[in-house]
Amino acid sequence: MDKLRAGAPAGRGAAEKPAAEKRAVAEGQVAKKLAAGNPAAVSQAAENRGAAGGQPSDGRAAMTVCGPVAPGEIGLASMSEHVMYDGGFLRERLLGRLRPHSLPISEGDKLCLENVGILQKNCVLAWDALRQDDEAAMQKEAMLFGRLGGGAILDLSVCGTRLGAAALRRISEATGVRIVASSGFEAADARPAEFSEASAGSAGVGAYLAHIRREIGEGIDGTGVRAGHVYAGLLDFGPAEECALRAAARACGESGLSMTVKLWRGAGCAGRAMKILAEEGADLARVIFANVPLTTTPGFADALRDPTLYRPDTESAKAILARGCSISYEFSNMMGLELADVYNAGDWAPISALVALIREGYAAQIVVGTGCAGKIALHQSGGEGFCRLFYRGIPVLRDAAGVSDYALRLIMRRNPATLLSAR
Amino acid sequence: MQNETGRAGKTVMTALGPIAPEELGFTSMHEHVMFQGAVLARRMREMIPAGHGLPIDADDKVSLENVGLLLNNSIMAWDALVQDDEDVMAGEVQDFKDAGGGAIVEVSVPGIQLATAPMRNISRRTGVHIVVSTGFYTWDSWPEEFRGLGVREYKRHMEGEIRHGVQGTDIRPGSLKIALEDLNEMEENALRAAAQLCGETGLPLTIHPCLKPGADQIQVIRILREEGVDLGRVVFAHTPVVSRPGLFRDLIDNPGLVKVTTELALRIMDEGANCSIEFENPLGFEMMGRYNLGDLWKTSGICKIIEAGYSGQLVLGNDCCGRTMLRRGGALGYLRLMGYGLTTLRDVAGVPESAIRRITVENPARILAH
Repeated sequence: MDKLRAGAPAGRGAAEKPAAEKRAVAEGQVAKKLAAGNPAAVSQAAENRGAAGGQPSDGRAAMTVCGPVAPGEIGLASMSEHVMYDGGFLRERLLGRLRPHSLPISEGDKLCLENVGILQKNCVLAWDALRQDDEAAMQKEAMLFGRLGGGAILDLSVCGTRLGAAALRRISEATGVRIVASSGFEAADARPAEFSEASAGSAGVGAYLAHIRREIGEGIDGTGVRAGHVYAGLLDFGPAEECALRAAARACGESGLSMTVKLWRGAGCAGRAMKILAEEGADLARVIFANVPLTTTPGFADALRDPTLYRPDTESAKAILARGCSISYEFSNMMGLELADVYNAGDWAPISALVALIREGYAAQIVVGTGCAGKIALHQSGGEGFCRLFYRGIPVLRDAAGVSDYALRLIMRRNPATLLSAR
Repeated sequence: MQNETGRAGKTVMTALGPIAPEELGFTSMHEHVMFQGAVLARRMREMIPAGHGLPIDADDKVSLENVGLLLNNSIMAWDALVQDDEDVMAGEVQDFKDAGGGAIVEVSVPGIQLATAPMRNISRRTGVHIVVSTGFYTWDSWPEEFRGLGVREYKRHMEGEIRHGVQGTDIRPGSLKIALEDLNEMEENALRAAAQLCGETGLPLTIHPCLKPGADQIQVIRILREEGVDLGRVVFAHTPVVSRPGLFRDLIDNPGLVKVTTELALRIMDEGANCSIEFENPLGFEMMGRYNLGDLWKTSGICKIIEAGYSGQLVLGNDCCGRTMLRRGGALGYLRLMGYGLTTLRDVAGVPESAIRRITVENPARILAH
C-alpha cells in the first residue's frame, strides 16, 4: 500500500542465529540483513526502478551514468548526494576557524569506532572523515539504499571533488541504483587550479562552458560517462564563481538539463544568482537551490544568550520558490563543526519549516536527499548514509508531520523525475 | 579530631580510600563507569513501533557499521546500553585524566550497577579519583531481594555498604544515590533511608528525580526536610533547564514550545540544594517519534543559572550510561564535558574562569567532603 515505507523488518530472532554469526564482527551485519532478510524491500526496490510511477516519458530522458533512461525509471530519488567524493577542501576552508582543542585526534587518523564520536562533532579534524574514496564501500552504500527502495541518486560531485566517474557506472551497474552525475564547478576553493579564483579573469565564461559542454556531450574525464545534471557551488560569489554560474546557466539553457546551485553561505546571494541565471537563459523551473536555510541563523554566542533566536524560517526559501525554482532539503547525517561554533540544535527546526512549506503548497518544488559528503556520514562508518532518507526523512514527514502520500510522491519521485529528465 | 587521612578536617571517600577534598581537582559529578542499562531498554522497548525496518537486532554488538543507527536509536541493541569492559572504561577514564580531569562520582547503584571491584583498578591505572555510591536506582530495576522493604531494611543495606564496602568489596562509598521512577512506597522508603544516612554520616546524596506529576524535586525536598537533611548535602541530578514536547509531532506546529526554563533549578537552589546538569552524549530515540534538540538550549540554561548568581550550587557531569556514549563507542565519553561543555561556556558564552572553577572544582570538593 505504502510505496514509500522503508522495508518491513525481517523475521530476525537472536535465538535463531548460529553462534558463529553471533560472534562475528558486525562488519557486514547491516548489509546482510537488508540483503537476505528483507524480500519486501528487494521487490520494492525493483518496483521503484521499474515502475513508471505515473510519469509519462514524453520523449524525455534522464541521463544516468549508464545511459539515458525514461523518467519513470528514476523511482524514488535522493537528490543531493555524493558518491565517490573528496571533501578535503572543507578542512582547508575551516581549519583556521576552529577553536583550540585537545581532543585526541590527528589529521592523518583513519576513521574508526574510537574516533567517530569526535569526528561527528568536528568532521574536519581528520582527512579520512571527509572522503568517500572506497568504491566497494560506496557500492555497498548504494546497495543499502536500493534495498530500502531507493531508485536513483543525484551525485553533485564535480571536478575537484569527484573521485572517478567510471566508478559511478560500476556502482550503478552492480546495484541497479540509477546514478546521475553532475558537471559544473564547486565553490572556488574546491576547484582545480585552472578554474580557481586566480584564473577567472583569463579563463572567462567560455572556458567554464566548454568544460561543462564536454562533460555533458562527450563524457567525464574520457570515461564516456555523461553528466545528466549541472552544479554550481557559491561561497564568496567572486568572479570565478560568477563565471561558473553563468557557464552552468548557459549549459542548462542549451541542453535542457536541470541544475543545482549550492548556497554555502546561506541565501543572501540567491537573488543575485537567480538574476544571473535568468540573464544567461536558464529556465528557473529547472533550477534547484541546495543548502537554503530553513531556520534563522543566529551566531553561537547570540543563540546561547537567547536560544529563541534560532527558529524555523521559511522566508529565504519562499523567495526562491516564488521565482519558480525548487529547493532541496537534506536529512543530513551528523557532520558537526562545533569547534567552528557551528552549533548542533537538532533537525526539528528545519524539518518544521519544510513541513510548513509543504502545507503551503510548495511540494511540487521540493526535493530531498541526505547530503552524504564524507566517510563519517556513511552507513558503514558512523552515519546512516543515503539510507537516512528512509530511516529519518520519510518516517518523520509521514508519521510525525502527517504529510500526505501525494506530497511525498511529488517530493521523492515525480519532482526528481521531472527535473532529471530532458529532451 | 583527625579524620581517616590522619589529618584534621573533612575527607572524601574514594575507591582507593579517603583523600583531602582539595585533591579531587576537576570533578565530574554524575557518571557511570561500569554500567548495566537493561532497565532502560526494558522500560522503552514497548515504545518501539512495529515495522520500523531498521536493520538492528537486539543482540547486535556496537560496531562502526551500526553506530550511526544506534546513535539515533540507542535502545535497539542491548550492547549499546552497557559499559562492561574494564579495559575500555580505563581508557575512557584516562581520556578524562588527559583532558585535565581529577575525579569522577560513579552513581551506579543496584538496578544499574554492574561491578564495583574494577573501580580500584581503574583509579590506580589512571590516577583519577573515583567516588563510588551506595543507594538504589528506580524500583523497577531492583533485584527481587530489595522489593517491598521498609525504611529500616533499606537503611541497613546502605549502612552495611558504608561500613564494609559496596557490592561485597571493601570499597567504601563516598556518596549516596537514590533514583525515583514513581516515588511509590518502596522508593519513598529508600529515599527516607538514604536521607537519614545523609544526616548521620554526612555523605552527599544524589537524587535522580521522578518525572511524574506530583512527585517532583520540590516534593522530594519536603521529604528530605522531614528527615532533617541538610539540603546543602543534596545534589539533584538531571535538573531540567529546557521545556519542550516529548514527541516531534507536537512540536512541528509549535516551535515556540522549546524554551529555556530555569525556574525549577533556581527554586531547588533557593531551597539550599545543589543541581547537576549533564552534557550528555547523544542517546537517540528517533524511531519512537522523539527528536534530538542538540545542546544549545541546555548550555544556554547553564549560562542563565550562572548569570543569575547560582554558580555556587551548580555541578556538571556527562552521565555516560551506555557504550554508544563512550569515546570508544561512537561519542565523546567523559570528554564531552571538557571538549564541548567547558570550552563553550568559557570561549563562546564568556563564563569567567572563576565561575568555571567554582562549578567544577570547588563545589564538588565542598559537596563530597564529609
